[in-house]
Amino acid sequence: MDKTQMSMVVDSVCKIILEELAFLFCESQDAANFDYTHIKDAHEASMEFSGPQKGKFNIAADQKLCLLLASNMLGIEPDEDMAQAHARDALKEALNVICGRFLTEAYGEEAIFNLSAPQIGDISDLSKVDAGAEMECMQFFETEGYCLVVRLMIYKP
Amino acid sequence: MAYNILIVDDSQTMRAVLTKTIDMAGIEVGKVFEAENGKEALGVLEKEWVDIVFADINMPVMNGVEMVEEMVKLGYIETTPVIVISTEGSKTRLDSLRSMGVRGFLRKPVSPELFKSVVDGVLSGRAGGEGGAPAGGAAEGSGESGDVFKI
Repeated sequence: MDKTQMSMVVDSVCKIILEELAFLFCESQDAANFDYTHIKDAHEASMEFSGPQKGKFNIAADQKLCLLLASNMLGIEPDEDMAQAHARDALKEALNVICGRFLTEAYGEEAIFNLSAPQIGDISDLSKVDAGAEMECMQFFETEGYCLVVRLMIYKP
Repeated sequence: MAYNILIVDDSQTMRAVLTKTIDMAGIEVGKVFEAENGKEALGVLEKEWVDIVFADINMPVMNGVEMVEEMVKLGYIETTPVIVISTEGSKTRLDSLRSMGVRGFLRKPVSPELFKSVVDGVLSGRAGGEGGAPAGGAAEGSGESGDVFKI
């Protein structure tokens, strides 16, 4: 799978999962026009996978989008305390589902992967190149007026 | 008949979503137990009567596969049906879980309609019930198994 194909799978999987999981309809954004300042007030989650291929996913989303994600998943209003309490965990779970679906789409149903538990952390510089990565793709989305970035890195075995 | 349910997932959000999905699916629920990992789940099964277990695979401390292996060793798997709800898409791993006695599989995210069809299929294949002994005790079960895997 080359970078273009990988990007297409990531793009497609993210849109499908966010729609199925939280009724969020994402539009792809052009990387060249993406304004990173839009994701300063964001949460970021990451997780690693190993198996026939080794890699890492990152997802960064505006904090308000995380609230919307949690509230839609739980069927509550975004301003409820419960949505606030679940916002970061909802982002982790969205990444977990995206990662699982991507691996099946990209490597087939026979491949067995081990996934790390998703971790939440401070927003990192997603534009920074990972020297250890064999291949890297970054997809940008906009939904409900908020930004979402998903980065996938594939490492050398 | 009201069912006692155990939800095993390290994500608090996913446990809340599953509780809501169970409600939306119209499944009559007695008690809902929650566990963050397989180890905690085994602790619940030792003490409480549980009619059905919904378990994730990818969890810290003890993952879903390790939990099912322990349930096989302890004999719980014969009396307490397990439905795996995971992002897992590997047919190889699912075949392995099925051979260990897992009765159903649902891939996240799960719709209430699909959830209900799988749960109904699994529960109709056993004569488990309300009350009774914990899985670790002298539980009664039909030994028949529904087996519903939806990917």
